[in-house]
Amino acid sequence: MLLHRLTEYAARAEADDELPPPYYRPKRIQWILQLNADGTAAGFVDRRSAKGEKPLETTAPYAYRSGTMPPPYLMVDTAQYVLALPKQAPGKPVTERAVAEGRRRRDAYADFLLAWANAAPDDPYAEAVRTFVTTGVLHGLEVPEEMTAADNIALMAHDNTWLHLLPSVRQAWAAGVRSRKSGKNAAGLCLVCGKDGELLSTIPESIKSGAIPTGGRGRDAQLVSINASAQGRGGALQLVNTPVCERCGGRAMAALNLLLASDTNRRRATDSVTVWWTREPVDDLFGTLDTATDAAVARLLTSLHEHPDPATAERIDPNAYYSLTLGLNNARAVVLDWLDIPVGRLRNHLGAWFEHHRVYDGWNQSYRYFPLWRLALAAGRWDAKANKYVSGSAPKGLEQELLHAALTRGPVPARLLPHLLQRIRADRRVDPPRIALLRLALHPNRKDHQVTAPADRLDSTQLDPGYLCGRVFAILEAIQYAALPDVKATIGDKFFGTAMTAPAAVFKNLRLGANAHLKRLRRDNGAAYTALSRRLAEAFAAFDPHDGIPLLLTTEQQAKFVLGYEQQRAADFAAKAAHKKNKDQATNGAASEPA
Amino acid sequence: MSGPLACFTRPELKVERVSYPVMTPSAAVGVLEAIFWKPEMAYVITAIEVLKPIEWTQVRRNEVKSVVSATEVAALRKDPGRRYDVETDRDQRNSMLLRDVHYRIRAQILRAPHAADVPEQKYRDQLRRRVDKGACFAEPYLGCREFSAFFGPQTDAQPIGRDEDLGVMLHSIVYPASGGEQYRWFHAQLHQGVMSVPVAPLGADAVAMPVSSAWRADGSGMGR
Repeated sequence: MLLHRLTEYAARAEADDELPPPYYRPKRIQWILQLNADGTAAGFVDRRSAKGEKPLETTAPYAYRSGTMPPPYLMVDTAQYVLALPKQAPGKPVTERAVAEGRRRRDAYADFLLAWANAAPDDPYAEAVRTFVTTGVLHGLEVPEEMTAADNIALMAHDNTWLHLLPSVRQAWAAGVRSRKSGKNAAGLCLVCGKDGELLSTIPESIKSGAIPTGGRGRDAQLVSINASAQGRGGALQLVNTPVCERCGGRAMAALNLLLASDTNRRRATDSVTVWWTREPVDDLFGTLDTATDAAVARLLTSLHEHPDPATAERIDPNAYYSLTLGLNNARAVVLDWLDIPVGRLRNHLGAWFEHHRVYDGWNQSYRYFPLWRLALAAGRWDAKANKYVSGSAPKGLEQELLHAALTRGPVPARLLPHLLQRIRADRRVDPPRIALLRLALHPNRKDHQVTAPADRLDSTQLDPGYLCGRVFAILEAIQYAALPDVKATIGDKFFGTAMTAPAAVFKNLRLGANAHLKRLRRDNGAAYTALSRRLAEAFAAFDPHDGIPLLLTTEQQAKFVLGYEQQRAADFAAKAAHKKNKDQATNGAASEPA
Repeated sequence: MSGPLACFTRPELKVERVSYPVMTPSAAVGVLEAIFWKPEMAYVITAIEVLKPIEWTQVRRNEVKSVVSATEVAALRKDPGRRYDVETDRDQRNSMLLRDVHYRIRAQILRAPHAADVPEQKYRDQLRRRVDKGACFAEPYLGCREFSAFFGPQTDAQPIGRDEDLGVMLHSIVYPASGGEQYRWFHAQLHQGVMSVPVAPLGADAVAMPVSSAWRADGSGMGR
């Protein structure tokens, strides 16, 4: 189905004139070999780009080649094929074998040119190319000093026409690849399109090297390849029991390469890449995950609130959305994830993603939404000196798992919660992205739209002992800060780790210590004293009268502790901001009144 | 049928395996034959109902790269000192598997030509008795040997409400007298959680049904 969807995309891209011709791929050209009008002379044009300059790139013939005698490409190939320039290992002399292989490759290249010139007598440039090959101009070319064996050389006619882009060359090249790649008894039902066609023995195009990020060596990769006896049915190699027709095989890979090369339709992680496309054009849903603008999120949330049930949402917009995540296993592409869902459902999933992680900012009285990369980064280590998260310290593969959870409305990985709590304790840092992750991890069932998420702001009805401990701790800290504004190490700095795991051990002392702070407050700032002592009494009163303050908190309660702590703080900030606003209005009002 | 894991490998993505989202008819035949089979009968799958939402998981495993060949067997026989070291013959392969699957298989029993006069219901009742008892000749599995399946009599679980185009799916494999095997395909679609399997696969050489047995379409809600 995946290949079928890719071929559908290829048809759309072709209509938009984005798809390169069959078996063509963007290549960098270092040298142009320009022929004169009759092919009796040719000269090199150096097109190597200087540093910082954009290199010359054009779509040129390409097919995967390997083995002891790799075949040449038509018109555009490396200097090894065009000029018999032998391959040379750095610091070592050129071997006899490399020279002989270079000659073989040039002869094969020349034969291919000649075959095209003979097969396309009507082409205005065929005669010049024939002369160029047969009269020894090609074989007599001087190799420029700075040229290396891997440099690409493209042929150009006297009137600056790229020869490899001529229609007859495209046809000849495609025919050459087909004859090389198709199977021996090659006709039958293609399992991609479901129609009879000429079947392939191997897929001619591969995924361009570098398109899939990898920790190891990047190289061209095949999505469909069967080259060890345990991989095929009955020990058979190549596509003998995987019938794929030539058209589908080539176009699916061309579409995939197109998607992998686009900036809008792909998302690269450290060792995988996700590409997405839709059956019909749609606004940029996928991008919202990484650039969570308020307007885009608001749109998603509106559609979520209109149709909270994913099953209903999917009927609203049945346009299909596909996303494919690929990894690399040497020269083989690995399908890590494949998603095929209606766009309406995806809108619902993304809306739920934002609603389930949003964090209330009390000071600005607004919600904050986080891009996916920021959430993944916040699971890593916080570097207090550099004042940022250490890049690459997040658990391996977490970003991909979060992406999967966002797109499928699934749970976040179970390993996230204990890891995050450990990081919060060790780094002594709680910030909004971490709270967002905690809210996602604490959600009982993200799939079920009737299950409510943990509250996104202070929930005074929440009686979970962990949550209450968190609230109490935040209030105690606020009391200390109000009483001693210049305090160096707050109770948060000293006791946060213990309070979130074993609250009973520290809460008694902290409560007693607060008495002194409250006394000072009563003397210096009566209003703050009243507000804070009432808040503290309310929070303590909410504890279960029999169980009291728990000795130890479970992992989930610890997470709720952090949530309660942060939400109490956010509520305090909100109260403070409201108070400030009222005060400002009062002063402004008083000032504007006529004297 | 149910199981914690399943992999009905797509033929185009079988090295780094990706499963079909729904059980294939040939896998369903395998399950039924593991429970009850006789040379006098064959199963034809008419529909597969998906009773639990389609969920995916993935696993990466170290697998053996080669299969044993006749020449290897001969060489082993010839030289008793010859050894095969599996650790040097490894290939890491990823699989995208189905998780927590539950299906209802609707099938029709066909009699072989030499059993044309036996009542069809005899085999059907035998199968039902074996299913009720939980008896099987071999452990039934979901696509791959390592993913064992649980089976039991029909329940009243409802199919999931999902429509999906599943593409070209393996219908069955035939073994012609000339040797080798032939694959036959059909265009699979899920309608409200039910995948109907046509009797005839795609392609010119459509399946020839046994002439001796009168084909009877499975009525709706008739049970297995």
